[in-house]
Amino acid sequence: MADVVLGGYFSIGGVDRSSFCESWEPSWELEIQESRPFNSNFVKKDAGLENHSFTATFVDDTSYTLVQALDALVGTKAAFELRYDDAAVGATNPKWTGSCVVPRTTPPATQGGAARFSVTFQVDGAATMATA
Amino acid sequence: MAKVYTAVQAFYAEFDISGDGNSFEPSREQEVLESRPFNSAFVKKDAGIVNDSATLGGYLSFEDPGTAFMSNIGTKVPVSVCVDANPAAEQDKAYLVYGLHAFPGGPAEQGALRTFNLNLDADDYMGIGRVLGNGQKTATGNTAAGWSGGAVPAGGSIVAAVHCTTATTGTVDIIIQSAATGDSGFASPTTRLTFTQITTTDISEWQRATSAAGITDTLWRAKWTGASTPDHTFCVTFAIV
Repeated sequence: MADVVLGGYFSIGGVDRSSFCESWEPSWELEIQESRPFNSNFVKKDAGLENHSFTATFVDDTSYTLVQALDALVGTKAAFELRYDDAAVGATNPKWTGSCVVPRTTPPATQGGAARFSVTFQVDGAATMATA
Repeated sequence: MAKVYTAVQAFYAEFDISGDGNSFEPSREQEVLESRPFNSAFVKKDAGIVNDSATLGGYLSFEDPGTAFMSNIGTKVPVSVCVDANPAAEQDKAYLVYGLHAFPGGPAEQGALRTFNLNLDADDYMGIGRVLGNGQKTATGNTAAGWSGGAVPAGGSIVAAVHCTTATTGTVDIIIQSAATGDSGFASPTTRLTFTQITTTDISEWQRATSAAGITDTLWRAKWTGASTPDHTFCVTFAIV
């Protein structure tokens, strides 16, 4: 069944920043290790390391609350939590948590445009899914 | 008349994801090796090896199999896509992939559908074959009419997948058998693949075998043997590679 996102959840540094967030997109990548042994005419594949990151798009407020909050976390590894739905975590509404490196944000200022910017957060180790 | 896909049944591991999936794109890349010898004014080309993959897309939910998408990262997962009907009938065309994938979940974007895009890197080969059994089975049985899939060439392989989406009671043992041309009743079958016995846990399994000498039998079927009041819903797909 198709589900529409109507209220996702994003927190960074232990603070719910959902009200600034328009979207987040996970990139839980898996490195594929290919081999081409003599006994096969097809490429064989095995799992290598996982590399997790996610990109979020925000719109800041007139006080630059979010940019300032993110700036305070620059250079640190901050806890994050992501959900497709801001309802309680459960079997049909998992959360992803972990620790990510917070980069310096440089929001563009475009005449007539909202204070919208995207940030890619590199996850240190795994983004762990949980349903409780 | 053009083929229009209006009813596809897709299985991911032990899940029937027909209600979630909406696209399937298999890819078979044949590597082409070019040479430019002195004695030719044209580029010469030879076949290299094959790199198979497939993309399965749809709508993401965390009922099933969204959670499994996450737990299966880094694990080879059997996927069968039956493109002729839903539910698929015996001898409908099926694509079989045994592949690796990363997390396929799309973005959480306010006001947008939640989607997934599963990029499967096939280990070895993708099979293009047939459905040999599908649906709820409460007794011993087999494919009603053996599939005339043809012989297996020397060095060729056979692959099969079982997706048991509901395992309620009892046990079932599933095997793949072959028979010689003309033995449509499978009077003298040969067992080629044997799956792990299914009990009361939903499960999926991929089996393959390679034959150095090839197999001359041309008829293929699945046979399931139930015991202890069996009640299982599964799909068996098979291909010769």
